[in-house]
Amino acid sequence: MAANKRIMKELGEINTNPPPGCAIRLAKEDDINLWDVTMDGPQDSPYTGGKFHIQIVLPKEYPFKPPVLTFRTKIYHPNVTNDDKGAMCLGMLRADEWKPPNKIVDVLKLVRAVLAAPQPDDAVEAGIANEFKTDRKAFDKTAQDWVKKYAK
Amino acid sequence: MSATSLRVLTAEFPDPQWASSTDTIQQVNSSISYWALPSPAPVTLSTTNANPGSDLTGLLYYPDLPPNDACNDAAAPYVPKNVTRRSNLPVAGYDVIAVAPWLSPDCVQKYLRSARRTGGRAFIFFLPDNSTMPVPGSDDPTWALGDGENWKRENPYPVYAIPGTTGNELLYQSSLYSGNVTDVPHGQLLTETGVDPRNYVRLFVDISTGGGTALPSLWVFLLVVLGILLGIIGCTSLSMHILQRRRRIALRRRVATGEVDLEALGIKRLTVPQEVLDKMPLYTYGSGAPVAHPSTARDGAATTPSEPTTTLAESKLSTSTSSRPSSPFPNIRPTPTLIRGNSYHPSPLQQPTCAICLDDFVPGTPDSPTGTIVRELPCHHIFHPECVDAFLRDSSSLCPMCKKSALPKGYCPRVVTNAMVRRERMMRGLQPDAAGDVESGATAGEEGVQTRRRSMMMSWGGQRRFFSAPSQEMQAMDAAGSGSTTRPPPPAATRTGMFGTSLARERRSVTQPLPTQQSQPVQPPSNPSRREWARERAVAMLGRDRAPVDPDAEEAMRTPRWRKVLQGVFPNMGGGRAS
Repeated sequence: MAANKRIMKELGEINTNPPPGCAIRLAKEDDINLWDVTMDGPQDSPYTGGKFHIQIVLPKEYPFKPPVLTFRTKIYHPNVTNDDKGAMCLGMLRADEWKPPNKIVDVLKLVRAVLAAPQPDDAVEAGIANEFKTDRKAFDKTAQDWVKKYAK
Repeated sequence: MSATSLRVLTAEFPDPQWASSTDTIQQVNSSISYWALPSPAPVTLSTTNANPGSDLTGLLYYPDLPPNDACNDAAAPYVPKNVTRRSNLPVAGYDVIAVAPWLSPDCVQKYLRSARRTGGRAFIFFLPDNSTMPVPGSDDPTWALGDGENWKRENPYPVYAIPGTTGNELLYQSSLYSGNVTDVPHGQLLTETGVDPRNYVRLFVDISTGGGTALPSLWVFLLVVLGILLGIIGCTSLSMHILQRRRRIALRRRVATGEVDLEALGIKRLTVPQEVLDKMPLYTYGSGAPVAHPSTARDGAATTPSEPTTTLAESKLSTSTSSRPSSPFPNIRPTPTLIRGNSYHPSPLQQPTCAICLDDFVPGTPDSPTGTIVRELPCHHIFHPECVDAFLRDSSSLCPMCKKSALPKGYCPRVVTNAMVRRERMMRGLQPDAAGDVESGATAGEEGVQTRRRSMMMSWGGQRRFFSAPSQEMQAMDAAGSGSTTRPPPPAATRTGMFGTSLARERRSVTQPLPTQQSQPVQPPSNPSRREWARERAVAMLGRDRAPVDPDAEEAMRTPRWRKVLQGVFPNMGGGRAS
């Protein structure tokens, strides 16, 4: 299948040349549609020092359908839902924005960029976004606390 | 079934022994013969073999008892001498109904037995009291024969009871109508009016056993109302179906003329049928030589001028592929006008890589045409046919790269559904203020999005803003990718080629109409669901070229079953979305 070939290719590329701060492996040896990513919190962000566990599920229709990305590590971030799903809102991952030429590595880079610079205007967590905008210090503190609590 | 009425009349009929047919029982002119409609209705004692709905009819007779039977004496006061007996009726060919007085249980059993033997179709008893009072109900002890109701089972005919006077009258009349035609009352007159003297003239009994008419009148009324309702529903449904059919045809026509763009309006998620796919150019990458090309209208120029452009393309391709790792986007040729009219030559959007499998295309040369075979879509994007064909055929008609439709203009899917007509009408109905609606939709979508996103990531509302963020991030991301987060993002102008053009285009289209429209146009409060529907749809189609999910599948998912049934019956209904 074209999808398998493509996923293998991407996996190969990403393993030889991983995006910064990311470690990628398959969650299960025999399932190339389930990726486990460990992402370091970006420097100069409240998440620095944290290790965030992200799961990427590649749908059967990949690359025509976008991968599904969830944070398995709790994170205090306006763009990541604060529940057990840990869904992240990224424009390029929406079904209607997704294009086959986009690669997982692009997605991961985007995730890291959003970690470094939260997008409060596109937040899924309105409360966190509000705090981010109005009381940056408190936001940073809570985010760091959560990193210490969950992302070690 | 219970009897509802008893009717007695005089009938004349031929003897089946010499008549050709037996079904010629005719009522004798009622002005010169006996007839009666005794009331009250007979009481039903036994319903054995009485069919609901069909009347029990037969010739009236008195079942004889054995000559020396004591019951004969007991019956004598009630049974005239000349009463119609079985022997006074044709042996076969006509149903007969017995009538006798309800004497002692023993005599009744004998009557029943006699009627059984003589083929009685039913039995009518009357109480030997010469009273006009209605007879007691069937569960009254009067009707007990002391055999545990066994008589009702063992006699293969229904049994009814009538008041004594009625019974006496019947037997009396029966005695008048037991002889030849000339002997019966007005017999002379009858023969003069054309009754064959050889015929029989006898009493005929018709016991209505209800059936349809036995239904309580309320039920009849309800049934009638139900029937009328069903009729109305049927007519409405039929006319709606006809109307809807005409609308489907009209929609098909308008799609064909290009008036309606199904995909852009989010009316229908199209796919590309195989025959359309086959018409798309398929050629060896780099050489431009068609591999398998059914004749299409636009290939007229493709045959002759291939040489110069081919070499041009090759030179470009060889450089681009060789330098690929360092610069993923090949040099775009400055002016595509030279080759635009010719479909088989590398287009301005020529790419070195198939965007689906990320494999490089191998250019073929005229000498060794072993290059990759590529499929070119009408938007000039090229892919491996094995990558893109299945996608276009099964999933979407849009180019995976630029989301432009790969279908020919005016293409209309074979099946135009009622749902498509409904959605199209919905869009059309909103067109006068569509612009305002779209704007307000975007605004409202952004307000509602905070809550909506969580529950429904696929929600259409407010998606436009989304892309703006990633567009900045992507630039930041590039910087991060090269190790320093502080470096300024590369200018967008450098990003060209397969990502660049489409992405830049989308960024532009997406970033400009951002949150400035706070003006909430005055909306009529009517029809909120319809408005909401249009809003979502408008938001969905605004700023991008395709609907997010297949509207059909989406609608099928959202529509509850009862609504689907309703829409099946009334295809025009259910325009507004439920919920």
